[in-house]
Amino acid sequence: MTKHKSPLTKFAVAGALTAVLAAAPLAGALADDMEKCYGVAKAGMNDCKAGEGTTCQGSSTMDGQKNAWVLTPAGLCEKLVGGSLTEG
Amino acid sequence: MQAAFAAAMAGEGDGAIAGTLAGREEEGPRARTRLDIYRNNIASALVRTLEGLYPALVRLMGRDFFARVARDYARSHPPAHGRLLEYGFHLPEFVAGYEAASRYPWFADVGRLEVAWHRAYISAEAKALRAHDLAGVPPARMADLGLVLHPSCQRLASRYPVSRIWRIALEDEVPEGAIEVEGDAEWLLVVRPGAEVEVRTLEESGFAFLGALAAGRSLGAAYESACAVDPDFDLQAHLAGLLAGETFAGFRLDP
Amino acid sequence: MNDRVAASAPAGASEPNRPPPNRAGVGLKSEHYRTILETRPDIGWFEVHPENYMLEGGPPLRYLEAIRADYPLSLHGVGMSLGSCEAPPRDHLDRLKALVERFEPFLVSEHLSWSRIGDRFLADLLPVPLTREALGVMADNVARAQDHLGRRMLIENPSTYLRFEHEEIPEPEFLAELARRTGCGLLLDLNNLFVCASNHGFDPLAWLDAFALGAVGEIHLAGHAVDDADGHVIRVDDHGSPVGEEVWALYREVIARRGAIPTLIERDANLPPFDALLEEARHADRVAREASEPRAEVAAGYA
Repeated sequence: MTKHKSPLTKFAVAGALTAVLAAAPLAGALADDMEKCYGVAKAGMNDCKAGEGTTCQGSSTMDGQKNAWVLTPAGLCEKLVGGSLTEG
Repeated sequence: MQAAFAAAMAGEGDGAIAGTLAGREEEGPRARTRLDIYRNNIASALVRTLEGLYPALVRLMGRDFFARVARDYARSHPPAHGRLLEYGFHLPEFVAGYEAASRYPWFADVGRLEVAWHRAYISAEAKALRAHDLAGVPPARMADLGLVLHPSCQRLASRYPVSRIWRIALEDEVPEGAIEVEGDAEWLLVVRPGAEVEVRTLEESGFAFLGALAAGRSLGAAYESACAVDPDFDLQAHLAGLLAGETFAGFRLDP
Repeated sequence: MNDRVAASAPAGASEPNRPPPNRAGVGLKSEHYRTILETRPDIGWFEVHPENYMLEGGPPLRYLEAIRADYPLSLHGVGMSLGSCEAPPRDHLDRLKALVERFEPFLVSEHLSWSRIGDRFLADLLPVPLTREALGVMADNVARAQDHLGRRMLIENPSTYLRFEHEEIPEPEFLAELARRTGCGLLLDLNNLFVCASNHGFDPLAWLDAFALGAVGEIHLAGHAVDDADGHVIRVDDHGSPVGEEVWALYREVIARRGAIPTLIERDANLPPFDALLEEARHADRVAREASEPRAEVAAGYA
């Protein structure tokens, strides 16, 4: 572990942590609804089904043609405006 | 046989495998069509996986453009193992170099935030360190204390208001017309102390503080790192906030 | 041979958490976690792909643990690639074993297929050429996996969209021989059987005649898509619709021959509300009851 040199730091850290400990509540009871217990139910990625059920949809030999018109992003990004979005 | 099949799946030519297939073409689908079914299955499984990992990018790019990016990524970055919940973490770097998306330099950071969210989502469980767990530390040793970050902790710095964009993208309602994105650079902490993933914004100094602790440095050294960014860094407020926010999983106090 | 396989390794006999439910279950989907926990439906069991739970922690494992507390569970792998020339990766087996120890499934299954070559994973269940050489490779890999896990596995007949010219062993004999050599059981996917029979032009009942029904420890039922390929009908195993009438007919046939077997309703695309899957599972239970009865009625009629 890195040793710090400054006595000021040592003093500041001790003061801050002591104050935090003094103010800290004991562990509170947690809410127990389903979201709190289990979280968001995100889908698994593995399955044993075949693709979307057509031989040409999305196949690597066809998708170049199928998606040729999707040259640029066409989602929400077009509607977002803000100072830092356009720089760089 | 498997090498030839894999080559056909990668789009490197059907010749070697097509010659080994049974059935005359006039009696059924052509060899290429049969192989297309498998190519389609593989491509759609990977695109679906990436759509699941990057829901905000899907909304921002539009489904069709995202699918195009995802297919290109899957072709150049095929999975190395069968656990697809750990596939696709390098898409943000791929997007950063994707010519057709270059007008939107913040796509990559939105993707990085989604990776951070997902990593926190599937990380190990750990009981959070509470303030009272530190009650026995003598004040004279407090600056030497090492705080171990919760295993779910992910940190992300962006030049863009990336968490704001991310939240807008995941909202159900899409307002008419332009959407104003307020804010500038962001320093983020993503953590899942219990079941729910939380995305928190930090100050740059707080981000540096946490980074030093994550690197295994002591509380005193981390404090100095934070002060280097902001001389008025409020250690007490930050410590109280991070402890209450269940950001740590343990502590070290070397003798 | 069927009887010998059945006698040497009865389905589920040595598995923890017996008895295996001789009734229908459904594939567990994340979209249904909450409904299941809130309504605790009356259903035989659930099945998951272990690859979706090979995680250090997180909500998926939390939900699975809560649901497992109330229902028997089956682990149905899709990532072991037993048909690959190489042995299954050690870390995959370790992760699966950890899940087996944690969740104590009553069944563990995988496919007659391959997905991995070197360090590349092809995210589909790819066809194995049914040759003597492939049988040897597959048997070695199944034996390795079973040794590592310390328990018996079931191996499933896959849906295929092509066949190889140099194949030497019909699929039912291939699977029977695999079961004989390794002591593994079989997972009979009747939708896959129907899809293959249609795609490759054979009689599914004749296939069943040659199949080691005595080694079957689980049945899968699902729907598939019907598509056009160069002017020919091709059926694709997309798990995107309810079980079709032809597959129910095969199910009746198998139950009449073999009696009730743990049966799974698989649905992965166009996912309906949980109640619709529950209804299909109940339908499977009814079909199984009816199909095991007629024998008695016929016997009574002749008496």
